[in-house]
Amino acid sequence: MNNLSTPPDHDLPAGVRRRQRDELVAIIDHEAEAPRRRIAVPLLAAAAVIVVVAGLAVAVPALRDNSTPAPAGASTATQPKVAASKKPAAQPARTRELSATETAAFRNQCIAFTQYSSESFADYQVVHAFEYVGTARPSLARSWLVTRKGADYWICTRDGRGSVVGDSGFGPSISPNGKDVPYLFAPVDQRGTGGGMYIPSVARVTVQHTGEPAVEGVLKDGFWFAPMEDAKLTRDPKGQPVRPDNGLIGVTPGWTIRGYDGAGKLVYDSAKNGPAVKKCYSNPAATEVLVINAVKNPTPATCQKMFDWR
Amino acid sequence: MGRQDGLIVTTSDRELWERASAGSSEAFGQLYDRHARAVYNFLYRRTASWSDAEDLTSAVFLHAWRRRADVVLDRESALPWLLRAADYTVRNEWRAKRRYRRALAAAHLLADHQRDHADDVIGRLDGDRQLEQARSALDHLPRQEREIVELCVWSGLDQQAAAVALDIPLGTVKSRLSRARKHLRALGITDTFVETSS
Repeated sequence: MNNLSTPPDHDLPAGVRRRQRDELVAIIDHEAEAPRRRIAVPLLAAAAVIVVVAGLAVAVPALRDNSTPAPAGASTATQPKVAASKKPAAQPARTRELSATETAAFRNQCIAFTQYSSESFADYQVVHAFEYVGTARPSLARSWLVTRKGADYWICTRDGRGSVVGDSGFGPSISPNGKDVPYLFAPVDQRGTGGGMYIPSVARVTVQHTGEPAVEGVLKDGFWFAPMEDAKLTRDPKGQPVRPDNGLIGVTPGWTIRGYDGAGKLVYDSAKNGPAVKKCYSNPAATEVLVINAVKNPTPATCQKMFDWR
Repeated sequence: MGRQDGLIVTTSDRELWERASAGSSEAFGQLYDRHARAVYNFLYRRTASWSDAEDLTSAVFLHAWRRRADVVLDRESALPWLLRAADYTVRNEWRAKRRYRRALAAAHLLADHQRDHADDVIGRLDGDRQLEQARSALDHLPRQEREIVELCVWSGLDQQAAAVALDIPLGTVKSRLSRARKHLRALGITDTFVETSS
């Protein structure tokens, strides 16, 4: 051997090239969306503009005791106008707490999953670790790890195959620049895969995938959890991945989220009055516009009121 | 690249990168279209395996995407930066593959891809032996000089682009190239690169 000649360049095999391109596009779509979801800012549609706070001082609620019934109408926000309906039958929620060993393994998975985040999941203390028993299919969210550091919460979710499928955070350190942070866009606000938060007057949450029976959610400390999955990517005529969009903030396309008060009255139905991306949002007292989105000249009077978490 | 009113309009890497960084997956797809071949061949020459190069190509692009805030373009080209990402990816091969699989799982795309039969055919090409011989010559050089030869001779970068790819000053590239030539000459290598004066 007396020279540095190497074989001529090759192209990637066409099938591999196509697959890799599709995978990368889908990953980037997913990862570009995930941080927005994580910081709880409603940028699910492209044209969203957020009012940035100067000197934000946010008191995130302490964990609520779920055993204490929340008084109806405790929220200062205007309640949504949803027709009362009979309490529908839903598959009951059967859950079990994870053992210490299971929790430790789950936590390690979450640490690995979130390794590129600016915050370290390892710094958060586990508050709840549980899973649904008997979900309809493995792709649905099944187990959750709820962690907390001070006023911040970080929730990590696995599907029925045991793979981490998402995480979501809420709190002043995780979301330092969102003026909407202490508030919810809906009485039952979805944040991440198969979970979110609810206002105190909500006593029951159900989720329903199109064409399937409703499933009972589990309520813990102001957070709700239910076996859901992200919307499946579809393909456009050119074969490029397309992410379904229902125009709602947080609500997974193809799913309906409902909330009921203590008397069993339907108080929220995402299919009827889910939080639209095209709207602007004010604080619950309607004194300040917090989220503009694409609305021109928004005023507190013309925007949707957000909801107090407590 | 697109066609507009009969003119061919070329979008610069910088513009694509800015759009990709803002969340445009299609812009990133175009960067992949533009540079996957160069990255793939760089990886092949580094790993001496077409199938490893194939697996790592997508991992390189994922790494580049995740480090998008740190990108340094060289005269509008993203290739030197991508080759820097490729170098990192090869050094951390196992972790890179694992990260990529995790990203796939998170995007709900994980599937067991059956390796195409054509991959094995490519792997058996006579070129593998040629590469093995060229690599064995390079293996006599210190790592820093090897890297320069890989980029400037095998991947065709000029010295300024190599400086970006290696994150070192241009002067350092020049001196390493000069030393690499001397070493290769002493080893009896008679390549055009070796015979070129610095």
